[in-house]
Amino acid sequence: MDKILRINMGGEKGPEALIEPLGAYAGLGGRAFTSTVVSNEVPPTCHPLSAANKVVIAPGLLSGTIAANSGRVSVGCKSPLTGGIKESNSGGQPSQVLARLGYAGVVIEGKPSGDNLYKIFINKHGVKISPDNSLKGLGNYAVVAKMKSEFGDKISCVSIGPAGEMKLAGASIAFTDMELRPTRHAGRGGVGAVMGSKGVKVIVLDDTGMKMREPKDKERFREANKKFTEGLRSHGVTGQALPAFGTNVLTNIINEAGAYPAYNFKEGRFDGASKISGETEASLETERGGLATHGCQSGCIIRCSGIYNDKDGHYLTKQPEYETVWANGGNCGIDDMDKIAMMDFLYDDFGLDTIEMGNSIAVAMEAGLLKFGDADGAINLIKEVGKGTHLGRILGSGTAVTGKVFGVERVPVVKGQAMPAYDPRAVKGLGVTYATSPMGADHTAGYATATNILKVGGYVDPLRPEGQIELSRNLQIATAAIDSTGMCLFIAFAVLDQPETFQALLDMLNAFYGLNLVADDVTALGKEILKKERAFNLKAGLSSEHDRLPDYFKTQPVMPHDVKFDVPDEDLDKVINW
Amino acid sequence: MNSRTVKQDIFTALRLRISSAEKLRFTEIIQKGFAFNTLVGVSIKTFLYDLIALDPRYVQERISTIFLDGKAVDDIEEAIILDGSTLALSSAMPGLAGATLRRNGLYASLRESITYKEKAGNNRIREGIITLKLFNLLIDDIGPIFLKKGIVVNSRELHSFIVKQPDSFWRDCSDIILAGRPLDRVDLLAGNLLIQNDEVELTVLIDG
Repeated sequence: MDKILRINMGGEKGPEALIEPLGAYAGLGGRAFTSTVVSNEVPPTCHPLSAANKVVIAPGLLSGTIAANSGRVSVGCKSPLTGGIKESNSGGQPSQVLARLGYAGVVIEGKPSGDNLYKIFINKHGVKISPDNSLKGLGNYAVVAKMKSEFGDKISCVSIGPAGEMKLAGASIAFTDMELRPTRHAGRGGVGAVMGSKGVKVIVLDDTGMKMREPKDKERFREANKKFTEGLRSHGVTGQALPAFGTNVLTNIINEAGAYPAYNFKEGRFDGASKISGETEASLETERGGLATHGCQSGCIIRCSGIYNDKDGHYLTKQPEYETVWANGGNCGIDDMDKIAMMDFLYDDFGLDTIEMGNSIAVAMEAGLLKFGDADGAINLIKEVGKGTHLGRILGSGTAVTGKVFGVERVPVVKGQAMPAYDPRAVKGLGVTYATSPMGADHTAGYATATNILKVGGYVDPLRPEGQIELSRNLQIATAAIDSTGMCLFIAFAVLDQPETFQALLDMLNAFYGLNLVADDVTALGKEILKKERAFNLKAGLSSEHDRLPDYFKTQPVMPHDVKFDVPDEDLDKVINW
Repeated sequence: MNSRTVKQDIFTALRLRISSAEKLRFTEIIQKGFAFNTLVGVSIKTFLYDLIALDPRYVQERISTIFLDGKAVDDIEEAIILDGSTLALSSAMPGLAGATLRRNGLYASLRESITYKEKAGNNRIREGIITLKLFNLLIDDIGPIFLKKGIVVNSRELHSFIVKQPDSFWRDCSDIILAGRPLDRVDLLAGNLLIQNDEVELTVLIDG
């Protein structure tokens, strides 16, 4: 990973590729890379769909190595959904392949003058950019099938569906999985719309002839990876619960806690939760000859994904994960797992963020466009987006737009981005992160749970109520750092409980790059990233006034616990301020 | 609170004997929740350690997320189960939300407003009925213990559950005894035998 690929889609003679050394970006990976490039090179006040915006795709620091769970990829840009900086990340194969091809990042900039749609092929010999208008309007599955017939099956793809071509603010970028299916998505923030604005439909990656990246100290690296792997395997969450049931294992406990947003965040519990829980989903998958335990990328040892077959035993989609099942299930009053799986397939194919879309549909239900629980109606709405009808374009532009168009007061967004699957009135600490993350309402922004091991800002007494401000800050710092390694965020659970597993992660980084990083360096990296993102947002016009939850979370209690979000604004303003 | 009041004398009792391969079919019932006759006025610790006889180490290491009436429990010695209580048990869960809900976790303050706090009261120890829910890994681990002891479920829900079981389930079902009377599958599903009363006491013995 010693070079950057810049693709200028607005070159005078058409799109052009330039390979350059890392320069000031040396040593950065994943989110650290994308947020630094966007901070340095994108004017904060530019229109997100203009030539001035850039799509930055970056593998993690350990991607392309034998390190377990190291294949997460980050996508950065100015977000058309939030108007601020965005880092959205995904699993799948492309991170490993890009890294093995030697690229620390791909930066797509400029904008083509005509209306051609392009495909970009990258292999060890170089880069080829060519117009391919036969791809126009195709879903991600059809695009990947075409690329497979053209380039063979040793490839991986990064693509957009019709939603990205239409430049909808809910559009995602798809990354293919081990089976060469477009099932992994950088979903949040409308990154697919920015790729669509560049006229890029698909990037095809082929690392044939390339080898695994070699660490500086092979023996030390191998030893650290062994300890890291053992740590993941021995932990109850990463070694047992996630492999057995996937992330949707959360449905039952979040519902029991009264923190499961149902009927457009009106209730904290959903009666049909057990019908769409991870336990039920895993049973169905096994019964129908699918898989309840499956990795989304090679080198994954947690394997929290799966294969979801229809009633006849045919592949329907990958295992819909918790956020998808919630957004399109309980939040819409829908308790039919097969219908939710169909929605998941459509989102993957059209290239849409499942969280944003589920919330848009729930808001449309609240507006009376269809009834809560109407699964077929919800599927039809998604198809409207795929067809690009006026209604579909409204829904695909996100929850905030949908709420405005249909005159709904209860619109669960922060900085224009829809909330994930945890009611911030019940779990207020998550509400603090939703409010203050530079990314908008984001459940992964404060996901990494290594704070007291990292001792970011000192040890926090978890039993002090005011500790949630410090915790949210520390979690966001730790998460920003982990997002830069390219490690799957789920490693955080093992790192939380097992200091030796965290040390093994540091040892891997040190052995690979010949460094001597200690926990403080990781903390400093996380702080630096957040500082840059916050500074970009301030210049883009997003200030502390935007670090707030919608008012109704403060005035309308959620049952069963009859709780409101009551963290004072002045406390929220302390989070990204150290 | 999801309380239930059930009079034991109007139960219909159903006993099944199945093979181990079929036990996970009861996931649906176990995760949704069932009524369970037990001593109430006791702590969660007493219930798990003494009444159910679980290994303390198992409770400590595996049952890391507990809800009493929907509130996250940190101290199992302090939290008292009352008649009509709902107790939900889970293993460690992913995500910040999962870590937050874990008992005595580092992130307990993030859910302070839904943390269980025991109120002083007259907690006389007596017979009672609670609703019990088991989630994720615990369904397979300790679900069979409760099935063997006998659980109380809504008769119509049990009927719908029984009706949809595949042939493989019945092939391995060696005993079907309803109200003390041995039946076959056809008899069990015929008429309204199962739904004569609102509740059924279901006992499932698992071979192997």
